[in-house]
Amino acid sequence: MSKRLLILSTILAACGFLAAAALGFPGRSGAQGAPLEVLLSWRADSYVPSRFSGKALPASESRITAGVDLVDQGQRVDLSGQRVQWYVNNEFYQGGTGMTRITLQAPRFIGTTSIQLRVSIPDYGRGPGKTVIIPVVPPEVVIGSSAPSLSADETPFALEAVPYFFNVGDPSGLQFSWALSGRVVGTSNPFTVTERMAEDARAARLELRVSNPERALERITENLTLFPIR
Amino acid sequence: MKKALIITGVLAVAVGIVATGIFLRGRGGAADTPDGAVTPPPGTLPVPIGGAGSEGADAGVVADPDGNSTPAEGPSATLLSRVSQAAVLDYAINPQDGLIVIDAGGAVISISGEENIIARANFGGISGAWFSADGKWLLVRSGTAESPRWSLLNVDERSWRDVPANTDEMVWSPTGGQLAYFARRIDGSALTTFDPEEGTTRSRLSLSAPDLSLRWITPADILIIDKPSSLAAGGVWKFSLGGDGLALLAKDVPGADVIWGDDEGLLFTAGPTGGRLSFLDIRGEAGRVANFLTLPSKCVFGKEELNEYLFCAIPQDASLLKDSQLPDDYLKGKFSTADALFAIDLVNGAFLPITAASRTFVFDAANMKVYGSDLYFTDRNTRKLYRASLAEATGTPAEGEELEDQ
Repeated sequence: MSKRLLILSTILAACGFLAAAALGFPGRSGAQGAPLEVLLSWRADSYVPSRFSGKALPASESRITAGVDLVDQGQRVDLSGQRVQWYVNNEFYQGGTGMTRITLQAPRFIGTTSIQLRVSIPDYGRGPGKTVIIPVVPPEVVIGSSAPSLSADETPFALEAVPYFFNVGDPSGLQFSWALSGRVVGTSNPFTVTERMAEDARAARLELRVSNPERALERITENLTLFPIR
Repeated sequence: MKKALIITGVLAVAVGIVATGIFLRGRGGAADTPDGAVTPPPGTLPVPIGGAGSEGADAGVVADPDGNSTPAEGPSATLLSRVSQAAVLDYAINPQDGLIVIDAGGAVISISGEENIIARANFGGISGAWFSADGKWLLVRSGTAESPRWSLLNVDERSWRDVPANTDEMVWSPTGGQLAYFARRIDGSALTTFDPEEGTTRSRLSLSAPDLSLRWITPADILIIDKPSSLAAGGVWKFSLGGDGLALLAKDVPGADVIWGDDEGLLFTAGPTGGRLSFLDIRGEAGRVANFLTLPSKCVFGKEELNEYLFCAIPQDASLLKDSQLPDDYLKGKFSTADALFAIDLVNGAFLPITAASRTFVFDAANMKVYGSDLYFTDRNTRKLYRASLAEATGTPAEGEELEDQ
């Protein structure tokens, strides 16, 4: 009789445990409905104008800040006591208790490449983690005017250059050099050029060179062809 | 032995029942393809005759999925008029002053009837200005990106105050009564709300993740989105002010941007070039995919009696968006679009031209808002403000309205 009771109670206990697990036993990992999710994001310290609402992308040697949050059943988890590990291109980079933010530097290179950044919280539940790909891009400059099409007639035209992703906090630290049909053009404001095309010119080539005097790899040349409307 | 087999069998059945329950409960929610993009169910919005925004699209004619044309119903094509001569940073309509704008020089002007300057933002270089939805408040950002200054105008009282907030972005609540922003902290940021009437702030959520943007979509819900780039995948999170916390609506979306209507949102997902628009509900369930391409910033959901419509400015040259990195290239100003305005019926998918394509009057529509039966927008090139009445059915600018040749 006692053996039967023991067996029966064991069976009932096992079923009860399984039922509790299915219904969401208060535990550390994601329970019913809401899965465990990782919010991983990053920010590059490269320059973008304040009106730009897109994401600033890192250029060569840009400083990047990454941060992680863990959401369990819709609530943000306090990771101050959790081990957090960071990996860059599959190699261990940094780790520590409560290390939810790190900084890293984009590689020194010419061209476009990317960084694989992975974060792991190994001791929480099933050890959630997430991987993101951070693109590393060359700096660029966008030349624009208030007119919808880039053309010029006999009146002076005004163009403005807006740099993106250079490693400067203030674009006034960059060097701008304008040339129109091979002739260097002087400007009072380095970001803009106001010029007049030759009277009989069918087209004119505008060249802009932008460089960061602090970093040899940060230099670009942008070319535009202007057509007068007559 | 026999008893052991019986016990094992009973346990196996119990585990099987519970495992089946766990499996069935765990299904549902946003589906994920292996690459992390949300896969919508079959079904797209029909394409109008000639394609969206193409020349030759007949005003007021709708193509159904079978390609048959039928007369359009609902808001129909009508006249387009310029509302402001000056370049406008933002605009709103409030009960006291009617239509009010802030121009590029910082003058706050009531332009219902005679133009009347009601206030000035003398804070130096203005980098942004936003009216609350009810037009009772105007938020102005000046200063530098590292050290922005936020100033708030009580439009009715014509009085200014500073908003002490260390942030680079603030958004209004849908009803206009509060602001939300990420207050910078040493180790992250805090989602904070500010009540301009009371002058009080309240910290709602602390996050370590940087570079996040906000969309306040309902009085109780705020979307948290990674700043968009076609080269970076991010999430769309919903934070409920009522205590339900955070929910992931869309995962690993390149270039994500969202606008929201009464019941659903319009989500942009970037491709290597171009991208696609799809509808998203508050639970993160993916909906229809649109077979036209524009950016959410060029669309607005209708309100009240027009809440079954989505109004969009769609570039007439579809290849311009399809061949560009979005939204990056557009946000940088690498190109401008020449748009046509459409009303999309969200119930039957009908595509209704609001303005006919024109070769002489070109606009790159932005900052679209619906007030009553009027659609307002600014031209991104000139920043002038325009209005299209949705109640009339002309499809071309009215006689006597002289629109500039570009």
